[in-house]
Amino acid sequence: MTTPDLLDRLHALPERRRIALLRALRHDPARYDLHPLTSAQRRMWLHDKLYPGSPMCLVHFDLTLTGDLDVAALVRAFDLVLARHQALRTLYAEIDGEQWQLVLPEASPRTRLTVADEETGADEVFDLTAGPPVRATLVPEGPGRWRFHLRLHHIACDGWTMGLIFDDLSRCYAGAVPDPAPRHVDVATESDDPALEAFWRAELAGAPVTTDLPLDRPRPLTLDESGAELEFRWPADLATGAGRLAAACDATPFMVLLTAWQATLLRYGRDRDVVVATPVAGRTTRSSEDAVGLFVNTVPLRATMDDTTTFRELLARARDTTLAAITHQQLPYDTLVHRLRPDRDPGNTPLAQVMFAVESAWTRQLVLPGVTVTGREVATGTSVFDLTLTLVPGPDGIDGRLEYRTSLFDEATARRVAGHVRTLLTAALADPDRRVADLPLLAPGEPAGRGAGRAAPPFRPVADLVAEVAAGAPDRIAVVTDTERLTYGELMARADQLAALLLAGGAGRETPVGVCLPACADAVAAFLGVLRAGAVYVPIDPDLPEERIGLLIADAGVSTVLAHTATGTRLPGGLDTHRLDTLAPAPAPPPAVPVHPDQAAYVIYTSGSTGRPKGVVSTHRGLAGVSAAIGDLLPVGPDDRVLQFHSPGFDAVVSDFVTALAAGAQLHVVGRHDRVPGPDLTRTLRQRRITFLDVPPVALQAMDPAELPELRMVTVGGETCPADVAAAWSAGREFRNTYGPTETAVMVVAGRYPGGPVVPLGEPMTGARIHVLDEWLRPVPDGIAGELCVGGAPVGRGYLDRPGATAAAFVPDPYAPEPGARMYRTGDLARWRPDGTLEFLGRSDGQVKIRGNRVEPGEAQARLGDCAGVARCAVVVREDRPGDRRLVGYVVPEAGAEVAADAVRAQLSRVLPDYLVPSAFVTLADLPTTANGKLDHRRLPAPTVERPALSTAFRAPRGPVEQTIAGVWRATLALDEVGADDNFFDLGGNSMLLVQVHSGLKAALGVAVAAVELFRYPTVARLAEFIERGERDQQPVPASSGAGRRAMAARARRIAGEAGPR
Amino acid sequence: MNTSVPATAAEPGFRVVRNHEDQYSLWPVEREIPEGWRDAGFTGPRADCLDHIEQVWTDLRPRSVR
Repeated sequence: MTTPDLLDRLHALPERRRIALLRALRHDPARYDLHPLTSAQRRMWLHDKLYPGSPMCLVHFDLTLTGDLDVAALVRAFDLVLARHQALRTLYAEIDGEQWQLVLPEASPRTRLTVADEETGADEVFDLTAGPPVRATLVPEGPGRWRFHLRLHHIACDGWTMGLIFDDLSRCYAGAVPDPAPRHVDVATESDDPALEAFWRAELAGAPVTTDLPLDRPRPLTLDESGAELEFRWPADLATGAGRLAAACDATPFMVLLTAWQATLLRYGRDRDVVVATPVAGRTTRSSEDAVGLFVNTVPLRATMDDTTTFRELLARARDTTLAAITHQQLPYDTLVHRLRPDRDPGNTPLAQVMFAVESAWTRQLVLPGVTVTGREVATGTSVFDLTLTLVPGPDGIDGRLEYRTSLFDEATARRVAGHVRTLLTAALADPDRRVADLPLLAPGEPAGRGAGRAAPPFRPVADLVAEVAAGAPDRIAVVTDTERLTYGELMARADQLAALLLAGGAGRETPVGVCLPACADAVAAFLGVLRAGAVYVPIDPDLPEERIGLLIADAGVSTVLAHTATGTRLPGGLDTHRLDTLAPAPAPPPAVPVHPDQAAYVIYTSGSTGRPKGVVSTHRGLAGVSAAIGDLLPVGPDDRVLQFHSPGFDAVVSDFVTALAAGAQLHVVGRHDRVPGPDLTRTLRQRRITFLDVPPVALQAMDPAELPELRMVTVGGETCPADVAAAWSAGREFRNTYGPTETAVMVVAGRYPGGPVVPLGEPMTGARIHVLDEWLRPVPDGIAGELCVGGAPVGRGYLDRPGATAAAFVPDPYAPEPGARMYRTGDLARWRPDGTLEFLGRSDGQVKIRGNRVEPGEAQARLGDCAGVARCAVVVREDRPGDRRLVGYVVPEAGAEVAADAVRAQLSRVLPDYLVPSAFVTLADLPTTANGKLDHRRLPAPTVERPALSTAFRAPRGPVEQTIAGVWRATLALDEVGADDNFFDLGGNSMLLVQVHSGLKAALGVAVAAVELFRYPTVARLAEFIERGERDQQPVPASSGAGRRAMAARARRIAGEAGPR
Repeated sequence: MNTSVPATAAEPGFRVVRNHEDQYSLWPVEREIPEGWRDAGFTGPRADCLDHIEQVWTDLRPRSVR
């Protein structure tokens, strides 16, 4: 059968008969030239089957020929090229599940160079089985001008091939008749030598799975192959410089340029470890150098560095890595990927996401006397890797292309990336012995790393702002509680009375004054009074364990405390305590105390890694800045009602005060049980018609926005906000995500939710300057992760009596307009997004947040180690159920001792706030350690579903109510068994889980039990008794009855005053 | 994500610096001291610098509010 006959028959036959024909051919190997595909060809075949017509597999050269072209000679030359190279005369077919290639004895007529008025087959999808995937068209465009289109499928060619084709075409055009070239099917070699796999396994051991890149958009779950190309040209001196450095280092220009690309990528990431793929020619024998076909393979090149690595050292490593890779290049990349990453992530290219190539200018091989050739390979509109940098060094400079995945990058970002490589390469060639970590990346004039909010207004103490409201509208309501309503005039009078009291007692500038009060109007007056006296506000949550209260008072050096009779009993002795509930109102003149902006205004304690809480000292300037920043963020005014949500002990307690009072709004103060996120908080917000609320996002998750139409403004902060929360609460109201550590006056970054999977932190707020910096406090390019550092008015004074910790975290701000300024290193990782907002990326250390609280497991661990019977211990954060992050304590008991979870919990609850008490304890014979003796977190077992060891004896729940409650608890706590007398908190319960218990009980028993009752009746038996008594008294609380809920709420409020947190 | 502070073995030295408010901090030896700060006369590894600051910075109040 001749080639045309065979092709005609293949064309005419339906698919099934076609295969039958091919199968027949296979049984006649003497007559038909059939060969299996190589692994690289199989990859192309599979891609073509999965994505028919995918441009990723197409090679298209679009050249313009101008001059005195002999068209007939070019057609003849092309015929000779087709005849010479086997791969251009080959078709591909699957026969019985195996892929074969069939070499035709002569070229298919369809592959000949056609002269036509327009390119034929421009939209044709190659059918690999119907004929060789080669199309060539010459389109006359006018006198002495032609367009030459050459299209091939990648299964038949590679870059080297194009050089061969253009070279042969030139020679044949000039009259040569070359011998047949070596055949791809004969000379292509691939190896599966186990030694190759072992080499690559060792080479890539521990390499990062992904490369950090300045993505403009989050990675889709599955790869999107859409791409675009950016073209650029670098000056000739970079090409000559690269050649010179290569010669001096016994390397090649390829290695120098590769090093520049690797260095740029290393600087982008924080792993200091990158893998870059690069194509290798795959022509390992002399004869293969003359063969057209798909020989190219890909090898991964890994680079690592530390902070002292110089460019020259990195180049030496790149040289060694490249040479070793070339020696081991015969293992096909697909085989390698399959062996090393069998569990591949569909959203990522495995092993490497970035490619690098140095190419020759293939079209320069096309030399037709009297004809000028211009044009080049057409971009496919796809991107094989996330980024592919292709450089073509030439006499006029370095021509470059950066192919980028358009699902991830914008063109502007690709342009910046190319600029970074050029800036780094230029500097490295000027001084190859500079450290890579010190080489510049940013192009001249490229802004990076910083952003600033509006300038802070001139300093006015917050208390003066409130006094101004009081002077202008003394009868306006300032504070509303369950039992009290205070006007601004009354509030200010009370504050001035307290200020006079403090000043008379000797308090003043830099004097810490403890405020240990329940949620009441006096708590607000005390805050203002301390500020009016120019003293330092030290809020102390009266619900903390007494030992903890004593510790805070001693650490802060507090000798004067404002308290109530009830809370005063929780204070240590020897203090000058003013009991405000026994202090009748008395007029006092406004204190004439000048306030310096750098004076301490308040101290808030945060968890400390060494086992002792740290007092953060904030300034009056910072506090005034809170008022200005919130004022510029949202229009809070006299008609607004703000809920005091945060408890003393959080820095947001002061922002709640300031948000309301500086704006002349109403501040609503309620007991903590009426603020438990969920039904209780919803009820409070509705009853009080609250218009402004600041909460951690987790609190919003427990509520329904539709129930709160009057809540006009919501700010969230303290932890990462999930996108669904932001979306649900952005609709129809002003919603802002906010960010700010205690060390920088509550909040420094805020913004709207723009939609999409990421909730950005937002933009710098008034008075704040934000920098995203590398380890050495230099700006990182936009889009790249760095440490978020805060400068400007919000920067606090430091940590009380801790010079070392203060000096480490509050560092010189080299970017400040004013000399001698400091900035705070937050330890948070963030990056600038293209829209100018900041995105939070995690912590640079082990600090975590649990239910909005900053938690240092080290602090809990130190206290756990103090507990009776504990020999050694560890406290770690676990997230065994998604979204359920909790502290777990691991205990190795002393010999012969038994450590019961409830006994340990009781001891810890005396010294730690409840969010620092682990929610589960696991007893171990020993703590697992790594080879170098560190705690091996991965080998710490997850807490089991078994009921923990408690001092309380197990008693099975009896009767339907007990059993139902126990069932709800088991589901909430993920335990297999719950005893009727077990304390909810001893089993690992916490206030957030109470919300789940609440809804569980509502669903199972049809009763809505207020949070306070759950605190008050913390065992199954006691709660069951409470519920049954309610039913006996014929006061059922149907879920749907508003009246019933209100009655329940009223009872809850009465109890709230007397009940502690437990 | 890796930790931000490089391993001490490879860590170049720091310098203890002080500003006009007598606030102390530390700054990489190799980098120019930012404007408004001056050398407080101690260089060494980070931990040593912090130990030194623990000794010499006895009043954390800024000079202008003392």
